[in-house]
Amino acid sequence: MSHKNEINLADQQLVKAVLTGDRDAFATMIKQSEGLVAQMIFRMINSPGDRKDIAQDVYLKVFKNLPKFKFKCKLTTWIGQITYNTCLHYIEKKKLVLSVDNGKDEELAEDYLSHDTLNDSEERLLEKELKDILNVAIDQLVPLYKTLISLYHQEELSYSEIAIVTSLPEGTVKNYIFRARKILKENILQKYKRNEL
Amino acid sequence: MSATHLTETELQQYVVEPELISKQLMAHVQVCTICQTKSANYALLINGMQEAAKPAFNFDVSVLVLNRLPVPKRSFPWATIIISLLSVALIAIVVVLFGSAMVTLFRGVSGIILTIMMGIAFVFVIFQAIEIVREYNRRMDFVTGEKTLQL
Repeated sequence: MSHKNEINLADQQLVKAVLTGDRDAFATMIKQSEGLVAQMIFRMINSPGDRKDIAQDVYLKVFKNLPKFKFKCKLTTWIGQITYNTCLHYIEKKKLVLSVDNGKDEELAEDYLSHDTLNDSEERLLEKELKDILNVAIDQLVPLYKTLISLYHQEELSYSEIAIVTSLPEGTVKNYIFRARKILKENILQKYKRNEL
Repeated sequence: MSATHLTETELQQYVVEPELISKQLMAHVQVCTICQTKSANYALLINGMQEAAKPAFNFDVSVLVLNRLPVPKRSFPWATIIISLLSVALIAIVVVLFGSAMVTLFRGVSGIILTIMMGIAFVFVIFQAIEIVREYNRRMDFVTGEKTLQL
């Protein structure tokens, strides 16, 4: 049996158990998808208080709509889709910005961010500094870019899965992720150079 | 070997999906220090993202959600009652129409076989009843939330 079929079978059993009233099965479903849901909510929603409400809202919608789940994708992908739409609804309601700013595409003279000539402790310090800069730089991206690159690099979703979650064409997803990485790299280079001065 | 430098998209592809990069571009990167530096920066960036701590909720989502699951409204079971009445009516009609024939049929069967048949039917009914009660209790636990959560 292929890995995909095994996942589908596990999803089917879990859904069946929840639909027959097994609360533990629903708790398992939450545990399995919590990481993805948290990732998306943290990237799209800035207010910590609202994150809690949205997380609850997402799983209540999952419970309510579970009989309609047709197993056309992985269960976690479907839950991701509900999370994305719930966050999107929140953003629209609060009139916040999700979409991408095409912005300026200026090229920076590029230096290598790592230094071969540094000793171990300097290297570690640089690594920590880079991680801090990276975190800040990710936070500064628009919510959509933040979400897309996090789903790809941290949750390891494929382009096609991200396309299902966000209802964007696969090509657009790929394009946005490429752009997000470019902006991220340029922002880090700018910050890094400023720190070096 | 390609003489022009890789574009930003190609550089990212070189790091993330090298299998999609042509041999010429690959050969270019092997000898071009500018492209090597740029691709190394992307590699550093991507590794940094993969190693970064994932966000997590500071509350137990499952406890929070399970306590708020909607309790379905219990409507009067019209369908069950109608089906039960129809079943009783059907049995009554069969008894009225074929009662005498059935008595004749069972009169010919020995006492032991009749007892075995009745016994099997009785055990079957008992098992069905137990299953129905179990299922009912499970559903009631689910909607009232009385069952202890075990993760």
